Amino acid sequence: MPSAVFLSVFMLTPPAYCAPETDRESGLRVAPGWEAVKTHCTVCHSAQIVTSQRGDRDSWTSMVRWMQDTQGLWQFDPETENTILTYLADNYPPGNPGRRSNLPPGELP
Amino acid sequence: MPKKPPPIGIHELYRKDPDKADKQLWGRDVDPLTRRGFVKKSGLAAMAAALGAAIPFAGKMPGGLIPAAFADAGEPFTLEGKEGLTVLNDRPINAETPPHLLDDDFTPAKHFFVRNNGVPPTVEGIGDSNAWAIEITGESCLNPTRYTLAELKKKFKHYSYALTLECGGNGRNEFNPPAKGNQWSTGAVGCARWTGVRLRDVLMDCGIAEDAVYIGYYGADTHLSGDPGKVSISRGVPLDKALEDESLIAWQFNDEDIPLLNGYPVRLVTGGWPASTSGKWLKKIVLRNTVHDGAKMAPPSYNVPCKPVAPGTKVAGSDMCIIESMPVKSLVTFPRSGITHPLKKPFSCRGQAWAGDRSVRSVEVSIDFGATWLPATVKKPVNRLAWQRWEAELNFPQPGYYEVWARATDSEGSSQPMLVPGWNPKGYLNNACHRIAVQIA
Repeated sequence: MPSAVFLSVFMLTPPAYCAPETDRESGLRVAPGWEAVKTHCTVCHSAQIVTSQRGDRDSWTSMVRWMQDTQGLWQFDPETENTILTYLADNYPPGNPGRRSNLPPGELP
Repeated sequence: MPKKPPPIGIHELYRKDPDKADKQLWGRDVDPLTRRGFVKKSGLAAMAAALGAAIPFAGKMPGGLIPAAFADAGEPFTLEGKEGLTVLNDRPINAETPPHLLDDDFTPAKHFFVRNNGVPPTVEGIGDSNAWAIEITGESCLNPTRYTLAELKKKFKHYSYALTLECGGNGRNEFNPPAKGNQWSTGAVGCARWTGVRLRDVLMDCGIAEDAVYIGYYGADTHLSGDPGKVSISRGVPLDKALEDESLIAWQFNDEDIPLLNGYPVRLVTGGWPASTSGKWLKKIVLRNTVHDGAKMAPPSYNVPCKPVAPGTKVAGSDMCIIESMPVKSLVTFPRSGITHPLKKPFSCRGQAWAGDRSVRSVEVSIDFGATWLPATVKKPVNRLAWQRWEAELNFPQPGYYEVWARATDSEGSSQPMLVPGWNPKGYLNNACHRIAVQIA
């Protein structure tokens, strides 16, 4: 049954359009600037605290400032800072979940 | 005393030695020539079970590769000494408990959530727990004193209380705009039976000056940056809270040593308040004549706007207030969300409810998205600040998709909201009612 074979192969092929490539070590999305984020952000903490967060550029900037002001993060040169903030804001932007989301797929019947 | 080494996270394991991580986590050995596949079926089975899905192209899967489901989402995997927790962050270690594993009256050590701000001490570094020293000092301490744990045990009367500890940021993942920090869903809470001495007895032994208003703690955990001059966390509570009967310097958790990740060999336990006030690996307590100013006392940490603000508002530190008692909340701990249940069989559900410094007066459940509510039975707490068991039996009118919602009301009449409550910059105090999904067939 060629159509069934086609269908199953189609379904098992990783859907590249909705699952961006991630760095296998850190879990960071591979996109311009990811190496800078890995280099500067995983010295103290896991990349999981990056990949689990969402925020706009302002929000990511305030996280960086808080770490610089209180947690011992070094200052970046302007180009590096721009690279890091652009990567974070582009790859981990806020969603629009509303005031309560549906229950997640893992908790559904 | 815990003999096992401290657990490390999946990324750290794979970073150190991907092949060894494969072997340790899944019992996986790859084909020595192609570096792909699974030599033994057991490794594949373990990985597939953890993924909750078969891996159709397992034979092609390269060795040392973290399954994307885990790499991206921090899905459940086993930390040593812990079982079934969802790891949110592996450095520092933060892991939460799925609701169905909070069904015990006293949460077992293996299921008790982990919220670490820094790097915990090691069992080797701690050494003989009875020789562990705790210093009581500060500008409002009349007779600064240093006790070993053995001396504390000998000198002061012992007390045991079941005390609920909940992270101030539990439920953070529902706030919008997203709030910074570990994205806790519902599982940064637990209630264990803690044994120790009353903080009050120890403070009084050291002399509390008349101007004392606050206490602060310091622990043996080190700062993530490795800078020895930095403190990872040093919080505290007003003197009134510190002097309550149930505020303990505790060395036992459910009649055993406290798990290393939860503060072994000794910690503070101030139930009902953000768990960050219950300092772990306790080394020092300071009696203060001002609000304690240790690390993570200042806004935005563990502070919320003093007056409610619109979502996304930038709030000045001077307009933020320190969180004190946690709000009323409940969980459905049985059944597990996602089950299918026959229409004709009675449906029993149960859970836990707690209310910070208050007690829980009633719990109601709804199967129609909050249109109507049915009363559940609620047990009295075993002591003040312990969570309370609730139970209900439900009937469904016809087959279909339902959600069971639980809503608790505290002793002052405050109830849980059905929507996510007031937005705040760091996403604290989400006590929206818990929901589970049920398919009635």
